[in-house]
Amino acid sequence: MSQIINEKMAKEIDKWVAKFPSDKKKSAVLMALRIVQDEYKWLKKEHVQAVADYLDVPNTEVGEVLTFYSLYQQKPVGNHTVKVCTSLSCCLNGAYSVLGYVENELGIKCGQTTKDGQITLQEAECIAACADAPAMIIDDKDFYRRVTPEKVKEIISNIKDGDRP
Amino acid sequence: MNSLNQVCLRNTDTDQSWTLEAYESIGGYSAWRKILKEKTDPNLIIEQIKKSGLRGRGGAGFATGLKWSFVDRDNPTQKYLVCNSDEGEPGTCKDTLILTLNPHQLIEGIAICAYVMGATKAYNYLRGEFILHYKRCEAAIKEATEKNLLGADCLGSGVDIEIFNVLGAGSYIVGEETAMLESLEGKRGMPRYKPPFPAMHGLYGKPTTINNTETLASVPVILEKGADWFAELGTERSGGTKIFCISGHVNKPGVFEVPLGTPFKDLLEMAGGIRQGRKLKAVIPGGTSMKLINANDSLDMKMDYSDIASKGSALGSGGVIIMDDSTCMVQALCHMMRFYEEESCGQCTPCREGSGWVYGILKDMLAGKAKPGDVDELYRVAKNIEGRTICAFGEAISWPVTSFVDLFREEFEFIVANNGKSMVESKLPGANHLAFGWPAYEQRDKL
Ligand SMILES: Cc1cc2nc3c(=O)[nH]c(=O)nc-3n(C[C@H](O)[C@H](O)[C@H](O)COP(=O)(O)O)c2cc1C
Ligand code: FES
Repeated sequence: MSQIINEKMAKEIDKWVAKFPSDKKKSAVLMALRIVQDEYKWLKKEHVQAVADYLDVPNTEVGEVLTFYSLYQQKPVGNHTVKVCTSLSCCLNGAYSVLGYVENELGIKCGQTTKDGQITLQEAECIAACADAPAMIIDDKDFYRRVTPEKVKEIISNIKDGDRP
Repeated sequence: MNSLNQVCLRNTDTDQSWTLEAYESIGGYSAWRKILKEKTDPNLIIEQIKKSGLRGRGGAGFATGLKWSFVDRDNPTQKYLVCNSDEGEPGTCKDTLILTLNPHQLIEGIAICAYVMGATKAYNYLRGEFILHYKRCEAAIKEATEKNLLGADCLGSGVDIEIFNVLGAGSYIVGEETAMLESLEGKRGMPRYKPPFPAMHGLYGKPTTINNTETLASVPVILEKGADWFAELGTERSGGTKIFCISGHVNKPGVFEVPLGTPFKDLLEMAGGIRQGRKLKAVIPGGTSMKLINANDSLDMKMDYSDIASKGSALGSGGVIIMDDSTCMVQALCHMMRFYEEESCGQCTPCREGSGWVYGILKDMLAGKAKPGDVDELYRVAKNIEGRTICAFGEAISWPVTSFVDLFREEFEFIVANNGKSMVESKLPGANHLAFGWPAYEQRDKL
């Protein structure tokens, strides 16, 4: 067991490996990276190597996946990511007002991380919540729809307090 | 409005609609049980699907029955079915509802299609952010497997079917079917050259069928209620219902499953009409990859494949984006093109270079840095991408750009001639940045 992929993560990854034919372990690369990222928040060279070793896939091929998909963080990020959708339907409903408001609340610009290392703010492309624009997504999994300034305030203070559902 | 939500969203207002119990209480899995019991000839099922007029709901509108007939069932090799739940086309938010509220119907549709293909394994590929959706689909598969509706020797029929839910990692192009196959193989989502077609050479080189979530979730209802019933819901060349997602400048944006052929005007009314009593300016009828339609043309448009095509656009994914007269078309297009520039996989030169070029010109226009002749340049570059790429992403850049310029050329010329000042902005204060932002939103919510 490598130091990077602990037993719990290995078990998770194995569940994904089992979904594919036994000689197609490479198919699990996408999720293996995600699982490692969930633990370490962003992916460094050694993480890529650990996934490559674990799945027996050439390092360069794991690297190609890393750079292709947008959910992977290749630079340091905070404990949580807040992404504001700025695709068309959200833009038509004030996505940039939302973004500006979140920037103000957090005291950072889009792309930056708060000083305490808690929150990174980014833009997202359409997250399939267009009829509930403007929309945001936190940690690439929790959707917030029809956000208003009050809601944004609440969402952010919940993250800060660490009692986000 | 009793014609609303009859197929994929038929159970969405029932309690815990995503459970097996709720799904079976409305007749769920009866089509699948019947097939397993009678060992229905797959060709008969294909005939039914053809007769129903069902067309692909993922964007291209390809006839589903015909697609199903491409895979050679008697080929003894492993065959696969892939369900495309990657929903990423801007303006589209329908599969998200099926996956969370009606996963069993999708699972039943996948099982039926896999049976027809002779595929014992199916993958349901969800976009990486759909974690709740994934959990619902996992729970549904678990419940169905416990009842032996899935798994080995389903209900003693000798039919084996395993379905696996998998998650993407953030990429629009993976929604393209061959890119999805690459992604399933653990690679970058680069579309493949066709031929060979997936029906011959798909996932892991094996015969594969790929269908959209809404397409597959329609199948159980077609078989339950009959191909004729489904066909008659819609219009001549557009059988059944379609889920439309109405977003943008409307009072009550929402997702509505309506018979194909429903007048656009009715749909607009369901969405509460144009916000704040403003005027309709233009409509994108099927996600941002489709061509723009102006207000006049939209008002007598029927929402089916043929009628939208006759207006020069396409039904696409059913993502209907409404823009009112406060919208600066240059800004709207610029936002759209930032997306395409970002998401181009970079494999084909016309798309890789063209998307950046187009986005660059639009940014220059807004920044007041455009040169005379740039509107023609924009048009030429976009036009040149069309038909020159491996996948339809090229058209997804070309069509919006050329249609925006065709319909609103004067706005593009104006912004170039006036150093970035928008023609719309000059008439309507606050139109800048497409954002009425919070005020519009708050007023809308009070309705
Ligand atoms: C750039 C691009 C993106 C696409 N995105 C999606 C998508 O998110 N979901 C989808 O079902 N189909 C998408 N498609 C269409 C698929 O390639 C394919 O036609 C579809 O999944 C087939 O299923 P259907 O016949 O049931 O519609 C996309 C196509 C292209 C060219
Ligand atoms: S445009 Fe923001 S969710 Fe689709």
